[in-house]
Amino acid sequence: MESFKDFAKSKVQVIRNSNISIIDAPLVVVGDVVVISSGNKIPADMRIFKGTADLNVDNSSLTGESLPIRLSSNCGAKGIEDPKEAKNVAFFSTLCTSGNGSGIVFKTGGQTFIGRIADLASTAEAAVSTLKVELDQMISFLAVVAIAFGIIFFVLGFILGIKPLTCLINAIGLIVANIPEGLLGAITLALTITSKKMMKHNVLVKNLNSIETLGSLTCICSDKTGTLTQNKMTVQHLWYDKNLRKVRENQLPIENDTDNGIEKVATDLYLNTDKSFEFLQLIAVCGSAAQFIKEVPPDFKPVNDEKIKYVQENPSETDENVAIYINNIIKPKYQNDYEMYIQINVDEANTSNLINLIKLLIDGDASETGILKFFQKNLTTGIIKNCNNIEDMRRIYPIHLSEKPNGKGEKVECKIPFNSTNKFVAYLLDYKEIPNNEGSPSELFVEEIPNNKGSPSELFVAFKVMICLIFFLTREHLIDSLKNAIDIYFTVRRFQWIKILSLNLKRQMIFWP
Amino acid sequence: MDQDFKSKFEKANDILALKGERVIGCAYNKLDQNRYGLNYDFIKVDKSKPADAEEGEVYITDIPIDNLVFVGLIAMEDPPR
Repeated sequence: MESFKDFAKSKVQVIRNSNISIIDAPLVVVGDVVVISSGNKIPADMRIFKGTADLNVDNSSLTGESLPIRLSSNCGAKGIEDPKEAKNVAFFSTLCTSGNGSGIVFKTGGQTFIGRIADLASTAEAAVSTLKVELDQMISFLAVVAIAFGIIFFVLGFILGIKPLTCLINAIGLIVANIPEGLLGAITLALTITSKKMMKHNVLVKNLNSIETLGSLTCICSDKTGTLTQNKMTVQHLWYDKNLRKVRENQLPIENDTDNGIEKVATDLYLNTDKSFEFLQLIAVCGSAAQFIKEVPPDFKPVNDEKIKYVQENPSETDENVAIYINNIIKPKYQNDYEMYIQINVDEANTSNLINLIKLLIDGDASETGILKFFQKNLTTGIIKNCNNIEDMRRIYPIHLSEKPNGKGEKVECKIPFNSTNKFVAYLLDYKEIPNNEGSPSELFVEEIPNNKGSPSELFVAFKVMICLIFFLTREHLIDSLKNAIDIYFTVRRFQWIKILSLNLKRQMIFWP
Repeated sequence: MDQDFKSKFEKANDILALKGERVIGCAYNKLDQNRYGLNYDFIKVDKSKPADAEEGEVYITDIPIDNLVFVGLIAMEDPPR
C-alpha cells in the first residue's frame, strides 16, 4: 500500500535558479516556472508563456469538455474578460494531451479553480428539510405545553393541600405522558407507506427523508447524456414525402403512437422503391464524418486469446513489451480477419438485427453514429446502383476536393463542419460514375432535372458537383440565414423534455443533452 | 414548397420535438455546372480574421447554401439505461 501511494505521486519539471529540477507536484509554489509536455498533469493554475503550436490540454476533469483545448501564450479576446476562457491559462488537475510548453504558476492548492470548487463542494451544508423543521417546532411546542402543565398541576396541588410527594409524582407523570413516544414510529410508518405507494409509479426510494424533498420539488435538473441515457442515439422517426414514419425493429419496444397522429409504416414500405428515402439516406450517410473503425481493437477475440497465451508463456515480460508485441505482431496478423468480421456483421445486420451492428465500433459523435447505424441497417439501393454498404456509397459520392488558394496545390475536403453558431453541416459531394453490370449509372439525379433530353451519361457529366447539407435545426438559425432556403418556421424546442415520473404531479423534468 | 407541405412539416416537427427527440433536417442542392465547375475554388481565404502567425492565412469553405431542396427529417432518441 505504501508503494502504491508513491506511485500515485506525480513529479513535475520546474525551473528554479535557472536550473531544471524535478520535484513532487505538491511542492510547486507560486512563481515557479513549470515545464509541461504531453502526458503531464498540470500541477497548479499557471499562465503559459511559451508553447508549441500543438499544445493541447484536456479540461474534462474541470469543465466536462471532452475535446482538447488549444493553449498558446496569447490570452485571446475572451480571456481579457474572463480568465476561465483565457487561452494562456492551464488549470490544475487538467492533462496536457499534446505539445510542450512552459508556464508560470499563479495559484496553487485550494486557491486554484478546481481547489475552490472542491472547497465549495466539501463545505456545503446539507439543508435541513422542511419535515424536520416542522417536527422540531411541534416537539418544542409539546415540550413547552408538557412542562407548563406539569408546573401548573404541581402548584395547583400545593394550593389544594395535596402532599408534596404526590404533587411531584403527578407533575412528572403529566410531563412524561405528554411526550409523543409514538411519533417516531408514526412518521417512519407514514414515510414507508408513501414509499410503497411511490414504488407503484416506478420510483424507488432509497432514503426515507428524500420523500419529503421529492414532495416539495417542482423541477429536477439532471445531467442526461451518459447518466440517465446510454448516449447511443437511435433513429426513431423519419419524415419525408409529407409523412411521419415510425422506425420499426428497434431495440426498444414500440409504444402505441396512433394518438400522436404518427402514421405507422412497416419497414418494407420504405425499402427499395422510395426515392425520397434514398435521398435522405445519401445526404445522411455522405454528409457525415462517422465511420466504422478499421483498426483491430485489443479486445477482438483472437487478439485477446493470443495475448493471454503470450502472457502465460512469457510471464516475466513487462506490460509495455506485451503491448508492443500486440500492436506490432498480433494486430497486423488479424487485420484482414477484422475487416472480414466487420463485413460479415454489417451484412448480417442488413438482413437480420441491429445487435450485430451495435458490437461494431464507430468513430464519430453520438448523432452521426446513430444515423450511420440506422442507414447501414436499412441501406436501400433501388436507384443508387452498385452499393452494398455505406462505404460503397461514399465511394460513389466522395467529398469534393478543392485546392487551397496558397499556390502549393494542396487539396482539402470541401465541408463546413458543425459548430455552435452555424448549427449545420454542409458537405460538397462529387458524383463518381461507377459502371455496373446493368449498364446504367445511378439514376437518382436524372429525374430531378427538368427538360431532361440528354442521355444519362451526358447529364452526369453536367452535374458532377452536387451539394448536400445536413441542418441541425434551431429556430434562430433558420430565421436568420436560411429563411430563403427553407421557407419554414421551425418549432424545435431547444431543450429535450422527457417526462419520466408519472406521478401525476404536473411536474416536468429538464435534462440538458 | 407549398402551404400543405409547411403545415404537415410543422405538425411532424412539433410531434417529434414534444417527444424529446433530436431532429435533424436534411436538404440538398445541385450546383449549377456553369457557375461552379469542378475546378471552382471552394476554399477561400477568410479575410475577416487576421492571418495566424504559425499557420498563415485562415481558410473558410465557401459552399453556397441557399435554394436548397428539403428532403426530410431524421429524429433520434437516446434510449434510457
